[in-house]
Amino acid sequence: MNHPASSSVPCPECGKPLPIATAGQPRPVCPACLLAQALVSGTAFDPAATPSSATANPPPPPPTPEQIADKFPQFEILACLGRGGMGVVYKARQKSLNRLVALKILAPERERDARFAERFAREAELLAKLSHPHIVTIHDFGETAGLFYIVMEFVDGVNLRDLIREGKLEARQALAIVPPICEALQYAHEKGVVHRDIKPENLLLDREGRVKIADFGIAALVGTGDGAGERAGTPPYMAPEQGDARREVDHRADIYALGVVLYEMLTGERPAKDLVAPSRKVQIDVRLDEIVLRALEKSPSLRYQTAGEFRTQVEATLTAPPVNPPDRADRAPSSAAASRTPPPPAPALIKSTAARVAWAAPATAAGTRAESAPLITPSVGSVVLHTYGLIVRSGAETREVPLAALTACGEALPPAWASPARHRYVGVEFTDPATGQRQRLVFQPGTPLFILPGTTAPRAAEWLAALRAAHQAATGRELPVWPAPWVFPLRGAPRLLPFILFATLSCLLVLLLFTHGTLGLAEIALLVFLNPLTFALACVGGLLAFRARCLRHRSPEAPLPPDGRELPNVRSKVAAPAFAMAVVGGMDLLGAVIGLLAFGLMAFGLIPPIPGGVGTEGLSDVPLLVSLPTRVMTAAIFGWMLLWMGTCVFVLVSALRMQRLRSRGGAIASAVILMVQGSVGFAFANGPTPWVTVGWSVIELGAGIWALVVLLRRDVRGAFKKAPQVPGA
Amino acid sequence: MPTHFATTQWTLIHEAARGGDTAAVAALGALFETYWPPLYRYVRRQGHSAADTEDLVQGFFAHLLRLDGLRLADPDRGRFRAFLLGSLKHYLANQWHREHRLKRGGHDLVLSLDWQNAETGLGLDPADSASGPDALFDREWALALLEKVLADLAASEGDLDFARWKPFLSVGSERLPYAAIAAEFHLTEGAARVAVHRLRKRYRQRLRDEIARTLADPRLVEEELRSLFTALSE
Repeated sequence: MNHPASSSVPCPECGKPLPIATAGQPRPVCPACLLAQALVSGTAFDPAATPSSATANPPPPPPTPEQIADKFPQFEILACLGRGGMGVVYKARQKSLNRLVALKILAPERERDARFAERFAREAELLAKLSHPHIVTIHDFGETAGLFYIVMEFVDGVNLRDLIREGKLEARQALAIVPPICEALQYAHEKGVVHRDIKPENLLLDREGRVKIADFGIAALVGTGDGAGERAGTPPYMAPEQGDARREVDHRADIYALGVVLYEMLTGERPAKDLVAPSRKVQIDVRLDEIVLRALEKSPSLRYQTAGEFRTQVEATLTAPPVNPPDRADRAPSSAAASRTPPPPAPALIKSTAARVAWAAPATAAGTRAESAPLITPSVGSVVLHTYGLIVRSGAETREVPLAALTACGEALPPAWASPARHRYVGVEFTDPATGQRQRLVFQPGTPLFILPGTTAPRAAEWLAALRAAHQAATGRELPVWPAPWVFPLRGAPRLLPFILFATLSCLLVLLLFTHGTLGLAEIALLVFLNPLTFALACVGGLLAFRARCLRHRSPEAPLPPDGRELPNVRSKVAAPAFAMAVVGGMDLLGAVIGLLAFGLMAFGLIPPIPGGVGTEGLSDVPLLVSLPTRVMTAAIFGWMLLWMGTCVFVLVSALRMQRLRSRGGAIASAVILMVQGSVGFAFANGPTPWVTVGWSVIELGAGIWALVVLLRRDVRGAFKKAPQVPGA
Repeated sequence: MPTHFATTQWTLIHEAARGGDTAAVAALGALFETYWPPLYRYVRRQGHSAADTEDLVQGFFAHLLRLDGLRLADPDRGRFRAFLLGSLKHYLANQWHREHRLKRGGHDLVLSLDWQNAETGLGLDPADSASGPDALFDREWALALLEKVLADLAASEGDLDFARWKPFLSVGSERLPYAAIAAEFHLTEGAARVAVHRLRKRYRQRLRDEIARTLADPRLVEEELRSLFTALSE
């Protein structure tokens, strides 16, 4: 017997003296800790054994092994393993083969249901065909004395629920469980079987630590098939579509449920209604957020589309080095020492924005012009400020700059010729941790098409303040600020060049038309050849940029942070009107280009002028005063056509940006332009084919109204505000 | 198991005592065999000699077995532990008047109690003597309970193996050196985790079953577990 004979040896757990070791007990055990361990996870322990006072009507106890023994003479019923929503499970020995099996008796209340019997037979047959190392094998099924039963492989082990109850799992262990489950799910999904009730209770680990999924398809089997029962599942693990009778439930419901399980393994809690990224709850690799949140998307189309895809992502995270602040990544949370020390604060997001980003060559001296340095071209990306550093994405490249590596910061300014409005950028100087070289980063928060002068300075100041505060909090040192704005060698985007050329040529043409009153060879060359060429170049440049952007957004590296989770939903709402507007804008543009060409060709005399048209006769011989109205008319019409072309481009670009939830103002303006164009066209339809004009006007009007209605919705307005702050969205 | 709900041993005794059931006598005897050492030491601490204490505890037990004591009004009779201590105090207070009427050893049910063993615990807790005798009683009660649970567990697990696994029962799961366990028992880490978990699960179940045996209402298990833990950690 061991009585509280205290020794001088303290208990490693609580520090109190341990009982003296006796001969029979080589290792004394601290009694207080023994009880404490029963307490720790005891609250949720076997609710059947300790029914809480809240359960007023405890379910009737399952039949004891003795009670069912005579119904199953071929088995020796050994023990009742437990009961779930789907039935009662017994551990049994199959006498003929002398093997242990799990005997599941389904829904005892269905004893006399003929339709159930028929469905049971059909489904069970399908399930019995599933043969996979990570799926609990079904040996047999049938009905005896009105009881439907399934004979399954007996898995000698524990279920995942028991492991989670002991506290959250280490991220590595939690992740290791996921790939085999995905593999099994993929296998079953390919055979057309959906589990519908993935939850920790159904994920078993045997004595060798292998994972097996139990109860495949049982949820569907037990459901009635006519409404509510069909949705059978376990509410916290049910995908949103499982709760909605009108929506189709497919294999992606299993992916959602597995997402809930993963979330629970990582954090020890189930996801709340307002989903919080796991990394905000516990210290884990932030990339896991993306995996978990993607699986937990409310809309099935946004989740992983296959279990295989889920698996690939998880495995990539398992093999890749962790994306964590370097001083924290190497702390193994499993070691006893680490769990004693208070955990460092979890990395938290401070500020994020879409931005034009550029990496500058090592700067010469702070605050001076760096004329000799090579020109830099900003590209569209994002900047995210975390409590431990900056994550900067520019193009396809993503870099991390730890706060500790920052050496200075301040305003940055492009040279006056590149930015006459003197737009401010945020400049940061840091020592590259990889190369040890000093480098600079400049970025401009937001990626609007046009920025009013004076609006960039306050935003830059805001970012600089946040950056300095974060740096102070992380390192305790103050981050020095450059005394004067750093004039960095910005190179205007080369894609802008054709646009500028086009606009210049167009202005020149209007001027020439006015002064000459007619078109000479030079003007015609400009109009018919050069101007369309620059225009085509501009269009190609724009299309290339758009394509690059689309590709980037499709790349899996672009993370979708929790704040942006509703954005894809809004984006899907906006997509159709934006597309309509883009099509209409594009057609208008095409019309404008053809019109301009026709104007040039008419002037050249290659095609006959429209009767009553203007500006086609030589006016050089006519006195200026007499010819003035014609000159003004000609220039105005040409100018108007150019302007129209401009608005068409504006509508097109706005529509494309609207699809990405950018520039709501531009999109509204475009919608209004389309409506005005439509109304004008409708009112003044004439010419050889008035019905074509009327039809097109109606389409323009409709597209404009549709886009406007969608843009005025409250949720869409909110999404437009939020989208620029969400990188990658 | 849900069957506890209506029939904990202590409830059984309660119910049966009204009719003077022999089943109650047997059930009480079973409980008493486990939990008499704390009583013995409690009486010893009151200043009685070893011989007197033996007599007193036997007498108290005889008194209980006659089921007279069970009919005593007790505000806290939901717990066997509290009931036993309350009754014992009551019994000790009255023993002056009863002593001469007691027939020592005159009852027919003799329990095999190892008096010598209960005696050994007495001198060994000088540091604790500052806390009151009631607290010491609770503490010893908890130890007796744990001892029973571990002994039962050892018997069902196989003694030799259990002695090696036992230390892991008192360590928090997140601090368990699974890798070391795996190496020691030639298992994979996953298997070690499962094995430890299962052992802990059985331990908890036994502990709870044992505690439930001493309660009128199994819903109080959690509460009783907490108070026993408090008694041990003081």
